Order: sequence, then structure tokens, then C-alpha cells
Amino acid sequence: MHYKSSRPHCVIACLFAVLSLSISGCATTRDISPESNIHYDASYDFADKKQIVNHLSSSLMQFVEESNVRPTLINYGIGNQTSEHINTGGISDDIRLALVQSGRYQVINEAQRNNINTETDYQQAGNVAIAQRIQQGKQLGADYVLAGTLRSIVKKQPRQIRLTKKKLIYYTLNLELTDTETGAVTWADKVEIARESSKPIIGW
Amino acid sequence: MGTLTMGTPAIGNLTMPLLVQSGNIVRSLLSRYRMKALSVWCLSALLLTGCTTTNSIQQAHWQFLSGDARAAANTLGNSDEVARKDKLLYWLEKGMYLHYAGDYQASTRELLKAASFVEDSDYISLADEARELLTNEWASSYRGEYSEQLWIHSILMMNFLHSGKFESAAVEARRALKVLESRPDVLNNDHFTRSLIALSFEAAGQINDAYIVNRKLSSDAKHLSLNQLLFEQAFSLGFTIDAANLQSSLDSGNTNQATSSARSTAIIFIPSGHVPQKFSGSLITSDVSRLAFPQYVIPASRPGPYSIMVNGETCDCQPISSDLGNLVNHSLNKRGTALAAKSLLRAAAKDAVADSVSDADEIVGEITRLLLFALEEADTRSWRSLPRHFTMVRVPLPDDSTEWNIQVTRNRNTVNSVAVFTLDSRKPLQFISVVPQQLKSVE
Repeated sequence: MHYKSSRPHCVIACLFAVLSLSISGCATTRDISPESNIHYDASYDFADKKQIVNHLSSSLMQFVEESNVRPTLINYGIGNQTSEHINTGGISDDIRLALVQSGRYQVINEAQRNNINTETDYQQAGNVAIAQRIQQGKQLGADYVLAGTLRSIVKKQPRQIRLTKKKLIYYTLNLELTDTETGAVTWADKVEIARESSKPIIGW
Repeated sequence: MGTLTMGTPAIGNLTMPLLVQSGNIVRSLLSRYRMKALSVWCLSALLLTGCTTTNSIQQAHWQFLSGDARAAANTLGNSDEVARKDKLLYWLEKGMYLHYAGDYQASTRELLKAASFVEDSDYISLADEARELLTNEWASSYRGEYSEQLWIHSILMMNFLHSGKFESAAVEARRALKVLESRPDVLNNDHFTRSLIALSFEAAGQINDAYIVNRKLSSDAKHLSLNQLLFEQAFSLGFTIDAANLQSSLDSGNTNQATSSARSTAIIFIPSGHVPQKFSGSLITSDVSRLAFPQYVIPASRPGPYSIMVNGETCDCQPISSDLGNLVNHSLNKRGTALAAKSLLRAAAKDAVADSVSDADEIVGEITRLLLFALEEADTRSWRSLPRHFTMVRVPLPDDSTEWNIQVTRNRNTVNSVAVFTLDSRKPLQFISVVPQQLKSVE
């Protein structure tokens, strides 16, 4: 008798426990190191950006160490040919930052050309004393154009009986320096990132 | 368990043994606890159903139908006020209203959330399944029909093209290709979206990808009007054999020459009509038990016909169209087996609950049965602001002009509706969306 009457109580207790667990949970915030390699899923994230930037900027610096010159380059950006809305401007900005800080390259700020023209026009219009006006025709000409493309290949596990869905993503970023005088590609390198992720088919 | 009194014999033969077997299992479980089980069921049903947020969506839809897309978008307000189960519908409708209102940036924001929701919902949700089993499909999150999931990317592509963000349009094109590849049997007939994918690649300068998509579309759909474009793309890619073959088909006069190489091309998107609405079908399985399922009735319809004039000259441009009504109907039919299985399981569970209560108290049992009967309702949610047809026309702009007056005329039932646009810049590709309100009837 005692055993029989305790069973429904167990069921109710279990239901209550499950409900409590699913309803409760608390929000937390913590700082993490920008150097940490954390991936919540297989898609592109900040750790990938760091890996790409570190590899390509050091490769670019090696290139000038060998030639012992300080070339001027202009950055025409990195095209996004993946199936994600990735702001590749972040990658090219960080590479430019690394190159400028290294002192091995002079980098032309193409994005500021219109603003420079506006400021020049303003000064030349007589608003600024002649001695203080900037001299025109002294901008640098680029020796090289820096440009690249980010691509991805995504493969999903075929439909079959399973408990998790697996996904493979392969990213590749190709970057090139093109000589503006000859049109020849004088330096090229790439970074590859391959990652597999899985997520359960059944969830709450 | 009752007997089938309505519906097709084929469904009856299939459903009865399953219904009886499922009912017996649930009944044997319930026989132990009866009233306790009923109490848990009632409580869970109340807890899990949640509140409906369809009122504001309905009100916005009326405003949209009356021609005020901007007011419809404003009526939808903030997504925080919408229950999770209706969030996707909210983003879809708002995104479409804003697209019609010409606010492509805001439309993109809403539709990107919708795309992300669909991607994240790619799993079996125990909570949703439990809600459905206890009440009906309205209680679970709406995830969109396959064609609706594809159309999120189609509208996004158009938004990005209008905004001049060609690289983002190409990203959406690749996402749309993934959806197409996952359900080719249902979605391959969406020639408009396939053409839009190729166009997005072309706009982003990814001609090789554009060529591949156009080539497949041309061979699947026999769109001869694509041959000129294919020839130009094959030529620019250095595919000399393909270019020579395409050239010979152009020379033989099998294709429309209107799309011949021009420095500037206008792309016109024309939505027309309204996509049919889902309605609830019923199958009575006993005096007070029924199965409810969503269905479409698709009336015959065709887009346009449209005629295009550029600077007073008629353009012999071949449109590419998709019938979104047929696409969404095929998508729903594809889910038919899964929907039927769920309905059966739900009916069995409800029947068993009512039987179990009747064993304890006949009157309460009958009341429960009536309540459960009333609760059975087909999920008729759908993306209602989509048009019935979407048409794309490529219009080459004459090189000898600097301003182009484009007149789009729909000729239907002797009534002509006209919209006029003026372009004055010489970009390679220029985009025009003809919203229904722009087409004015003329004598």
C-alpha cells in the first residue's frame, strides 16, 4: 500500500523538478580574453579574424624584410564570397593597423580621399592663411594594391537517422599585393580555417 | 473511438488502426491516474498555449490591403510585444510592408532576423511538440513553409540590390541556393528567385556564379530569352566553346534579341496580386472528435501581361515570373505526411483523455470531449503580404540617351494600368520595383 501511494508523488516531484529547471536559470556576464579561442558554432567569429590578421600581416612584413624597402600601398579591401554577412572591412582595417604600426609600409588612406579634397578646397578658397595652406600635388602614389577575397565551402551531413546534425565549414582568405606599375602579383598568401560543428536534433 | 464519418476512404483506412492503437496506449497510461492526469493536462495546456498576437498582425494586414504599407509596418510596432511563436510571422510581414514602402534598409533588418530565426529553429523542439499534442498547432512556433523560407532571401536580395549593396545581395544569393538545394522538388519552379540569384551574382561581379545559375535555369525552364545574357557572360569568362554554341542559337533566330548588349540595363521587379490564404480543413472521426489540417485552394491566375516602353519605343523584353501560390501549395503538400501523423497522434491523445475522464464522471467527460473538439484547429498562419506572382524584366537602355523614360503597362481585362519611371544615371544595372499602388488605371 505504501509503495503504491508514493508513486504519483514521485511523478509530480519529477515534473516539478523538470519545470523548475527549465523555467529557472540566471543571466551572467563575464569578461574573456580577446586572445581566447572560443567557438559557439562553426561560423566565422573574432578568433578567426585574429588568426587571419596575425598570419597575413606577419607574412606581409616578411616580404619587405627580404626586399629592404618601405613600399607604399593602397588597400582595396577584401571581397566577401561566403554565405554569411561578414564585415571584411574589419580584417583589412586590422591588417592595415599592423602594417602601419610595424613602420615597414606606408599606407594610403583611400577612405579619406574625399574628406582630404574637401579640406583642401576649403583651404584653397581663401579661408586659411597662405603660409598655412597645405601644398597640393604631394600625395603619395601607391607602389602596390592590396586586395583579397574571403570564400567558404559549407557541407552539411546528409539526411539520415542520427541524434546530432554535423556541419563542416572551410574558410579561405587569399590576399595579394599587385605592383601598380607592372600589374604583376608580387606577393600572395592565404589562410585556411576548417571547422566541424554539431548540434542536437532535439532540443527544448 | 469513433468511426470516420467524413473524408476520403484512403485516409480513413490508414488512420483508423493508427488512431485505435495510439488511443489504447494513451488510455492505458491514463487509466492509472485519471483525474490527476487530466489536471496536469489542463494546467499544461494553459501554461503552454500562451497568448495570441495575431490581432495586430491582422490589423496591419487590413491596412496593407487598403494600400498603406507604411501604416501597416507602424501598426506592428515592436517585436518584443510579440509571442515567440508568432515572431517569424511578425518579421516576415513587417519586412514585406517596409519593402513595399521602399524602406529597404529597415526591411532588411526585419528579414535578417527572420532568416536567423529559421536557421536557429532547425531542430525538433520538445516544448513545441508538447504544446501541439496538448492543444493544436497554433500553440507552436511558426517556422514558415519551404517556399516562404526561400522568399526571405529573395526579398533580401531585392533589398540589397536596391540599396547598392551588391556583395550582400550575393551573400543572400548563396543562402537562397542552399535552401533551393535542400528542397529542389518543391522550389525549382521558382524561376524568379533563380533568376534573381544569378542577377545578384552578376551585380557583385561574380560572373562565373551568375553564369552557372543562368545556365541551369535556361536548361531547366527553356528560357530562350536567357541565351543572349548567357552568351555575353560566356564570352566575358572566356568560355569560347559555350559562347560559340550560344552564338549559333542566337544567329538561328531562336531567341529574343532585345536583351542585346547595352551599357546600362534596367531591372524591373513587378509583384502582382495576393498569395492565397490557408484555410482549415476538417476530418470528423467520430461524433465529437475531428482532425484539422491546413490547406490551400489555388485559383488559376497568371501575371500581367506586361508591356514595357523605353523613351516611347516598345521593348521586346521577355519577363521571368514565379507563381508564389503554387509554390506555397506544393510546400504545404510536401509536409502533408508529417502534418497527418501529428494530427492523428493529437486526436488519439485527446480521445484517450476524454475517455478516461468519462470513466470517472460521464458528464465531465462529455464536457471535456467538447472542449477538446473546439480546441482542434488547423494552423492557418502564413506570410500573407506576399504577392501571387513576382515578375522580373531586363530592359536594355539605349546607349544614345542620357535619360530614360520607362513605362510599365499591365493589360488586364481591357483595363490598362500604367506606372512611369525616369532614370538618369548610366550605371550598368539599375533597379526598379513596381509596387501595386504605382500602377494607375488609364482609359
